[in-house]
Amino acid sequence: MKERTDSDRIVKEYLDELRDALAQISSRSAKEFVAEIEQHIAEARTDLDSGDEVGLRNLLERVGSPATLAGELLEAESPRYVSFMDRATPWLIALGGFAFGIGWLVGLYGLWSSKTWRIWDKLLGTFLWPGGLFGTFYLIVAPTGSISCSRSQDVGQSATTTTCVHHGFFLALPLAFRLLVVFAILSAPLFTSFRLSLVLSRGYADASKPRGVRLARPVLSKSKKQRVLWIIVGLGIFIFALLVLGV
Amino acid sequence: MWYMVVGGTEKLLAQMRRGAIEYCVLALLMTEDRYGFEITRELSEADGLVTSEGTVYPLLTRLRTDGLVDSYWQESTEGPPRRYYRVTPQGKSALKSFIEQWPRFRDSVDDILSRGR
Repeated sequence: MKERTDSDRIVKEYLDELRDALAQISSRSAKEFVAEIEQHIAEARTDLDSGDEVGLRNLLERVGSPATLAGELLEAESPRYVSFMDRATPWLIALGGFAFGIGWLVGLYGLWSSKTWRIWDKLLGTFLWPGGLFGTFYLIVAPTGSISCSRSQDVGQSATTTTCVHHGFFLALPLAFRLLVVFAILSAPLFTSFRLSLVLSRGYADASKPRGVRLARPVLSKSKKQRVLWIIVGLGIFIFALLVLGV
Repeated sequence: MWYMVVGGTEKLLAQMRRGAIEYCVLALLMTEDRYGFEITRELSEADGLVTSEGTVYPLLTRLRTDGLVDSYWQESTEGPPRRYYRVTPQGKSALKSFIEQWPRFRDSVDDILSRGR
Protein backbone atom coordinates (compact mmCIF):
# COMPACT_ATOMS: atom_id res chain seq x y z
CA MET A 1 0.00 0.00 0.00
CA LYS A 2 1.38 3.34 -1.00
CA GLU A 3 2.12 5.51 1.97
CA ARG A 4 0.39 8.84 1.93
CA THR A 5 2.85 11.64 1.88
CA ASP A 6 2.09 15.03 3.29
CA SER A 7 1.88 16.35 -0.24
CA ASP A 8 -0.71 13.79 -1.22
CA ARG A 9 -2.69 14.70 1.88
CA ILE A 10 -2.63 18.38 0.95
CA VAL A 11 -3.89 17.59 -2.53
CA LYS A 12 -6.59 15.31 -1.15
CA GLU A 13 -7.77 18.00 1.25
CA TYR A 14 -7.90 20.47 -1.60
CA LEU A 15 -9.95 18.14 -3.79
CA ASP A 16 -12.29 17.33 -0.91
CA GLU A 17 -12.84 21.03 -0.37
CA LEU A 18 -13.52 21.40 -4.05
CA ARG A 19 -16.10 18.61 -4.00
CA ASP A 20 -17.86 20.25 -1.07
CA ALA A 21 -17.95 23.58 -2.85
CA LEU A 22 -19.50 21.86 -5.85
CA ALA A 23 -22.25 20.16 -3.87
CA GLN A 24 -24.81 22.40 -5.53
CA ILE A 25 -23.99 21.27 -9.04
CA SER A 26 -25.14 18.09 -10.74
CA SER A 27 -22.96 15.23 -9.62
CA ARG A 28 -21.88 14.23 -13.09
CA SER A 29 -20.59 17.68 -14.03
CA ALA A 30 -18.98 18.07 -10.64
CA LYS A 31 -17.26 14.67 -10.87
CA GLU A 32 -15.89 15.40 -14.32
CA PHE A 33 -14.68 18.79 -13.23
CA VAL A 34 -12.91 17.46 -10.15
CA ALA A 35 -11.35 14.74 -12.28
CA GLU A 36 -9.97 17.35 -14.65
CA ILE A 37 -8.61 19.47 -11.83
CA GLU A 38 -7.09 16.37 -10.27
CA GLN A 39 -5.41 15.57 -13.54
CA HIS A 40 -4.20 19.16 -13.85
CA ILE A 41 -2.67 19.07 -10.39
CA ALA A 42 -1.06 15.67 -11.05
CA GLU A 43 0.57 16.98 -14.18
CA ALA A 44 1.67 20.23 -12.61
CA ARG A 45 3.22 18.34 -9.73
CA THR A 46 5.67 16.57 -12.05
CA ASP A 47 7.59 19.82 -12.20
CA LEU A 48 7.95 19.86 -8.44
CA ASP A 49 10.21 17.88 -6.15
CA SER A 50 8.37 15.18 -4.26
CA GLY A 51 8.86 16.78 -0.86
CA ASP A 52 8.27 20.35 -1.95
CA GLU A 53 5.31 21.33 0.19
CA VAL A 54 5.69 25.05 -0.35
CA GLY A 55 5.83 24.56 -4.08
CA LEU A 56 2.71 22.45 -3.90
CA ARG A 57 0.82 25.07 -1.94
CA ASN A 58 1.87 27.70 -4.43
CA LEU A 59 0.68 25.43 -7.20
CA LEU A 60 -2.72 25.02 -5.59
CA GLU A 61 -2.92 28.79 -5.16
CA ARG A 62 -2.27 29.21 -8.85
CA VAL A 63 -4.97 26.69 -9.64
CA GLY A 64 -7.37 28.75 -7.57
CA SER A 65 -9.36 28.37 -4.38
CA PRO A 66 -12.16 25.78 -4.38
CA ALA A 67 -14.63 28.58 -3.80
CA THR A 68 -13.45 30.49 -6.86
CA LEU A 69 -13.48 27.44 -9.07
CA ALA A 70 -16.90 26.38 -7.91
CA GLY A 71 -18.19 29.88 -8.61
CA GLU A 72 -16.76 29.79 -12.10
CA LEU A 73 -18.22 26.40 -12.83
CA LEU A 74 -21.60 27.56 -11.60
CA GLU A 75 -21.36 30.51 -13.93
CA ALA A 76 -20.37 28.28 -16.81
CA GLU A 77 -23.15 25.77 -16.23
CA SER A 78 -25.95 28.29 -16.22
CA PRO A 79 -27.77 28.81 -19.51
CA ARG A 80 -26.84 32.00 -21.30
CA TYR A 81 -30.12 32.59 -22.98
CA VAL A 82 -33.66 31.62 -22.23
CA SER A 83 -35.27 30.31 -25.38
CA PHE A 84 -38.33 31.98 -26.78
CA MET A 85 -40.28 28.75 -26.49
CA ASP A 86 -39.50 28.52 -22.79
CA ARG A 87 -40.66 32.04 -22.18
CA ALA A 88 -43.85 31.43 -24.09
CA THR A 89 -44.70 28.09 -22.51
CA PRO A 90 -46.21 29.28 -19.20
CA TRP A 91 -48.42 31.68 -21.15
CA LEU A 92 -49.47 29.02 -23.60
CA ILE A 93 -50.30 26.66 -20.78
CA ALA A 94 -52.41 29.27 -19.04
CA LEU A 95 -54.13 30.93 -21.98
CA GLY A 96 -53.41 28.84 -25.05
CA GLY A 97 -56.55 26.82 -24.58
CA PHE A 98 -58.60 29.74 -25.81
CA ALA A 99 -57.00 29.36 -29.23
CA PHE A 100 -59.16 26.36 -30.04
CA GLY A 101 -57.14 24.33 -27.57
CA ILE A 102 -54.21 24.28 -29.98
CA GLY A 103 -52.30 26.91 -28.03
CA TRP A 104 -52.41 24.75 -24.95
CA LEU A 105 -51.18 21.73 -26.89
CA VAL A 106 -48.28 23.77 -28.22
CA GLY A 107 -47.53 24.86 -24.67
CA LEU A 108 -47.66 21.25 -23.57
CA TYR A 109 -45.17 20.30 -26.25
CA GLY A 110 -42.92 23.15 -25.19
CA LEU A 111 -43.22 22.08 -21.58
CA TRP A 112 -42.30 18.46 -22.09
CA SER A 113 -39.54 19.02 -24.61
CA SER A 114 -37.80 21.64 -22.51
CA LYS A 115 -34.91 21.09 -20.17
CA THR A 116 -35.97 23.94 -17.96
CA TRP A 117 -38.56 22.02 -15.99
CA ARG A 118 -38.33 18.77 -14.14
CA ILE A 119 -40.77 15.91 -14.23
CA TRP A 120 -42.92 17.08 -11.32
CA ASP A 121 -43.44 20.50 -12.79
CA LYS A 122 -44.13 18.96 -16.16
CA LEU A 123 -46.85 16.81 -14.61
CA LEU A 124 -48.18 19.81 -12.78
CA GLY A 125 -48.37 21.79 -15.98
CA THR A 126 -50.22 18.99 -17.72
CA PHE A 127 -52.79 17.98 -15.14
CA LEU A 128 -53.43 21.15 -13.19
CA TRP A 129 -55.32 22.11 -15.27
CA PRO A 130 -55.80 20.40 -18.62
CA GLY A 131 -56.57 23.19 -21.04
CA GLY A 132 -55.33 25.86 -18.66
CA LEU A 133 -57.72 28.67 -17.92
CA PHE A 134 -59.81 27.63 -20.86
CA GLY A 135 -60.21 24.17 -19.36
CA THR A 136 -61.40 25.53 -16.04
CA PHE A 137 -63.50 28.17 -17.72
CA TYR A 138 -65.21 25.44 -19.65
CA LEU A 139 -66.00 23.56 -16.46
CA ILE A 140 -67.85 26.53 -15.07
CA VAL A 141 -69.65 27.50 -18.22
CA ALA A 142 -70.58 23.96 -19.20
CA PRO A 143 -74.06 22.76 -18.42
CA THR A 144 -74.16 22.63 -14.67
CA GLY A 145 -76.44 19.82 -14.00
CA SER A 146 -79.63 19.60 -15.90
CA ILE A 147 -82.60 21.75 -16.39
CA SER A 148 -85.97 20.30 -16.89
CA CYS A 149 -88.79 22.37 -18.03
CA SER A 150 -92.37 21.42 -17.90
CA ARG A 151 -95.31 23.11 -19.21
CA SER A 152 -98.48 22.96 -17.38
CA GLN A 153 -101.87 24.21 -18.01
CA ASP A 154 -104.13 24.72 -15.19
CA VAL A 155 -107.64 23.78 -15.63
CA GLY A 156 -109.74 26.79 -16.31
CA GLN A 157 -106.92 29.01 -17.40
CA SER A 158 -105.98 29.81 -20.95
CA ALA A 159 -102.35 30.58 -20.38
CA THR A 160 -99.74 27.96 -20.02
CA THR A 161 -97.07 28.32 -17.51
CA THR A 162 -93.69 27.03 -18.04
CA THR A 163 -91.63 26.17 -15.10
CA CYS A 164 -88.05 25.21 -15.32
CA VAL A 165 -86.38 23.48 -12.54
CA HIS A 166 -82.66 23.39 -12.17
CA HIS A 167 -81.24 20.12 -11.12
CA GLY A 168 -77.66 19.69 -10.32
CA PHE A 169 -75.64 20.21 -7.27
CA PHE A 170 -73.66 23.29 -8.18
CA LEU A 171 -76.42 25.78 -8.35
CA ALA A 172 -78.00 24.37 -5.25
CA LEU A 173 -74.98 25.46 -3.30
CA PRO A 174 -75.09 28.72 -1.50
CA LEU A 175 -73.44 31.55 -3.35
CA ALA A 176 -70.40 31.59 -1.15
CA PHE A 177 -69.61 27.97 -1.90
CA ARG A 178 -70.11 28.45 -5.57
CA LEU A 179 -67.72 31.36 -5.53
CA LEU A 180 -65.24 29.29 -3.60
CA VAL A 181 -65.40 26.51 -6.15
CA VAL A 182 -65.05 28.94 -9.01
CA PHE A 183 -62.12 30.58 -7.29
CA ALA A 184 -60.41 27.25 -6.68
CA ILE A 185 -60.90 26.13 -10.25
CA LEU A 186 -59.67 29.38 -11.71
CA SER A 187 -56.69 29.72 -9.45
CA ALA A 188 -55.38 26.23 -10.23
CA PRO A 189 -54.12 26.99 -13.75
CA LEU A 190 -52.90 30.38 -12.60
CA PHE A 191 -50.95 28.75 -9.81
CA THR A 192 -49.50 26.27 -12.26
CA SER A 193 -48.33 28.87 -14.73
CA PHE A 194 -46.99 31.00 -11.94
CA ARG A 195 -44.99 28.05 -10.70
CA LEU A 196 -43.67 27.34 -14.21
CA SER A 197 -42.59 30.95 -14.62
CA LEU A 198 -40.91 30.92 -11.27
CA VAL A 199 -38.84 27.88 -12.16
CA LEU A 200 -38.03 29.47 -15.49
CA SER A 201 -36.69 32.66 -13.99
CA ARG A 202 -35.01 31.31 -10.90
CA GLY A 203 -34.25 27.72 -11.66
CA TYR A 204 -34.26 25.02 -9.06
CA ALA A 205 -32.69 25.65 -5.68
CA ASP A 206 -30.18 22.87 -6.18
CA ALA A 207 -29.03 23.90 -9.64
CA SER A 208 -26.96 26.69 -11.12
CA LYS A 209 -28.24 30.24 -11.50
CA PRO A 210 -27.56 32.86 -14.19
CA ARG A 211 -26.21 35.60 -12.01
CA GLY A 212 -24.60 33.88 -9.09
CA VAL A 213 -27.44 35.04 -6.87
CA ARG A 214 -29.10 32.40 -4.79
CA LEU A 215 -32.43 32.49 -2.98
CA ALA A 216 -32.18 32.15 0.75
CA ARG A 217 -34.69 29.33 0.54
CA PRO A 218 -36.85 28.04 -2.25
CA VAL A 219 -40.15 29.82 -2.53
CA LEU A 220 -42.04 26.62 -3.13
CA SER A 221 -41.18 23.42 -1.37
CA LYS A 222 -39.00 21.08 -3.26
CA SER A 223 -39.25 17.87 -1.31
CA LYS A 224 -40.83 14.98 -3.13
CA LYS A 225 -43.35 14.32 -0.40
CA GLN A 226 -44.73 17.82 -0.58
CA ARG A 227 -44.91 17.64 -4.33
CA VAL A 228 -47.01 14.51 -4.09
CA LEU A 229 -49.21 16.47 -1.73
CA TRP A 230 -49.60 19.26 -4.26
CA ILE A 231 -50.60 16.80 -6.95
CA ILE A 232 -53.11 15.17 -4.63
CA VAL A 233 -54.53 18.57 -3.81
CA GLY A 234 -54.80 19.32 -7.48
CA LEU A 235 -56.54 16.04 -8.19
CA GLY A 236 -58.78 16.66 -5.22
CA ILE A 237 -59.86 19.97 -6.61
CA PHE A 238 -60.41 18.34 -9.95
CA ILE A 239 -62.59 15.57 -8.59
CA PHE A 240 -64.44 17.91 -6.30
CA ALA A 241 -65.19 20.19 -9.19
CA LEU A 242 -66.47 17.30 -11.24
CA LEU A 243 -68.79 16.18 -8.48
CA VAL A 244 -69.94 19.64 -7.68
CA LEU A 245 -70.73 20.52 -11.22
CA GLY A 246 -72.76 17.39 -11.56
CA VAL A 247 -70.89 15.98 -14.54
CA MET B 1 -21.14 31.94 1.50
CA TRP B 2 -19.63 31.71 -1.91
CA TYR B 3 -22.82 32.27 -3.79
CA MET B 4 -23.31 35.87 -2.86
CA VAL B 5 -23.69 38.70 -5.32
CA VAL B 6 -20.32 39.79 -6.65
CA GLY B 7 -19.47 43.49 -6.66
CA GLY B 8 -20.31 45.40 -9.83
CA THR B 9 -16.97 46.28 -11.41
CA GLU B 10 -15.31 43.05 -10.48
CA LYS B 11 -18.10 41.15 -12.11
CA LEU B 12 -17.87 43.19 -15.28
CA LEU B 13 -14.16 42.69 -15.53
CA ALA B 14 -14.52 39.01 -14.85
CA GLN B 15 -17.12 38.73 -17.61
CA MET B 16 -14.89 40.52 -20.08
CA ARG B 17 -11.99 38.33 -19.13
CA ARG B 18 -14.05 35.21 -19.61
CA GLY B 19 -15.21 36.34 -23.01
CA ALA B 20 -11.76 37.24 -24.25
CA ILE B 21 -10.14 34.11 -22.88
CA GLU B 22 -12.75 31.95 -24.55
CA TYR B 23 -11.63 33.26 -27.92
CA CYS B 24 -8.02 32.81 -26.97
CA VAL B 25 -8.74 29.19 -26.20
CA LEU B 26 -10.44 28.74 -29.54
CA ALA B 27 -7.41 30.23 -31.23
CA LEU B 28 -5.12 27.81 -29.42
CA LEU B 29 -7.22 24.90 -30.59
CA MET B 30 -7.13 25.94 -34.21
CA THR B 31 -3.71 24.45 -34.78
CA GLU B 32 -4.16 21.23 -32.79
CA ASP B 33 -6.32 19.51 -30.21
CA ARG B 34 -5.09 20.11 -26.71
CA TYR B 35 -5.94 18.95 -23.24
CA GLY B 36 -6.74 21.22 -20.30
CA PHE B 37 -3.33 21.40 -18.72
CA GLU B 38 -1.65 22.34 -21.98
CA ILE B 39 -4.17 25.11 -22.53
CA THR B 40 -3.72 26.55 -19.05
CA ARG B 41 0.03 26.49 -19.51
CA GLU B 42 -0.13 28.45 -22.75
CA LEU B 43 -2.56 30.99 -21.34
CA SER B 44 -0.51 31.44 -18.17
CA GLU B 45 2.43 32.48 -20.29
CA ALA B 46 0.53 35.57 -21.34
CA ASP B 47 0.92 38.11 -18.59
CA GLY B 48 -2.19 38.96 -16.64
CA LEU B 49 -4.50 36.93 -18.81
CA VAL B 50 -5.47 34.21 -16.40
CA THR B 51 -5.86 34.82 -12.68
CA SER B 52 -6.45 31.22 -11.56
CA GLU B 53 -5.42 28.33 -13.77
CA GLY B 54 -8.33 26.23 -12.60
CA THR B 55 -10.85 28.72 -13.95
CA VAL B 56 -9.92 27.72 -17.48
CA TYR B 57 -11.76 24.44 -17.00
CA PRO B 58 -15.21 25.92 -16.39
CA LEU B 59 -14.52 28.05 -19.42
CA LEU B 60 -13.90 24.94 -21.46
CA THR B 61 -17.15 23.56 -20.11
CA ARG B 62 -18.95 26.67 -21.31
CA LEU B 63 -17.37 26.37 -24.75
CA ARG B 64 -18.54 22.78 -24.84
CA THR B 65 -22.13 23.51 -23.91
CA ASP B 66 -22.22 26.34 -26.42
CA GLY B 67 -21.07 23.89 -29.07
CA LEU B 68 -17.87 25.73 -29.90
CA VAL B 69 -15.60 22.89 -28.84
CA ASP B 70 -15.83 19.13 -28.54
CA SER B 71 -14.03 17.02 -26.00
CA TYR B 72 -12.84 13.45 -25.81
CA TRP B 73 -10.98 11.47 -23.19
CA GLN B 74 -7.73 9.77 -24.02
CA GLU B 75 -5.71 7.36 -21.97
CA SER B 76 -2.35 8.71 -20.96
CA THR B 77 0.76 6.77 -20.10
CA GLU B 78 1.81 9.50 -17.71
CA GLY B 79 -1.15 9.39 -15.39
CA PRO B 80 -4.93 9.71 -15.30
CA PRO B 81 -6.82 9.96 -18.61
CA ARG B 82 -6.73 13.35 -20.25
CA ARG B 83 -9.64 15.29 -21.62
CA TYR B 84 -8.73 16.63 -25.03
CA TYR B 85 -10.52 19.53 -26.65
CA ARG B 86 -11.03 20.25 -30.30
CA VAL B 87 -12.66 23.20 -31.98
CA THR B 88 -15.92 22.68 -33.89
CA PRO B 89 -16.92 24.37 -37.14
CA GLN B 90 -19.13 26.74 -35.12
CA GLY B 91 -16.14 27.52 -32.92
CA LYS B 92 -14.07 28.28 -35.96
CA SER B 93 -16.59 30.69 -37.41
CA ALA B 94 -17.12 32.33 -34.00
CA LEU B 95 -13.40 32.89 -33.74
CA LYS B 96 -13.24 34.20 -37.26
CA SER B 97 -15.82 36.91 -36.61
CA PHE B 98 -14.17 37.78 -33.30
CA ILE B 99 -10.83 38.23 -35.04
CA GLU B 100 -12.49 40.60 -37.45
CA GLN B 101 -14.15 42.69 -34.75
CA TRP B 102 -11.59 42.63 -31.98
CA PRO B 103 -8.95 45.06 -33.32
CA ARG B 104 -11.55 47.74 -33.95
CA PHE B 105 -13.14 47.20 -30.58
CA ARG B 106 -9.82 47.15 -28.77
CA ASP B 107 -8.55 50.29 -30.48
CA SER B 108 -11.78 52.16 -29.81
CA VAL B 109 -11.71 51.31 -26.15
CA ASP B 110 -8.05 52.29 -25.90
CA ASP B 111 -8.80 55.53 -27.66
CA ILE B 112 -11.61 56.52 -25.35
CA LEU B 113 -9.78 55.43 -22.25
CA SER B 114 -6.76 57.49 -23.23
CA ARG B 115 -8.94 60.57 -23.63
CA GLY B 116 -9.95 60.14 -20.05
CA ARG B 117 -6.40 60.34 -18.72
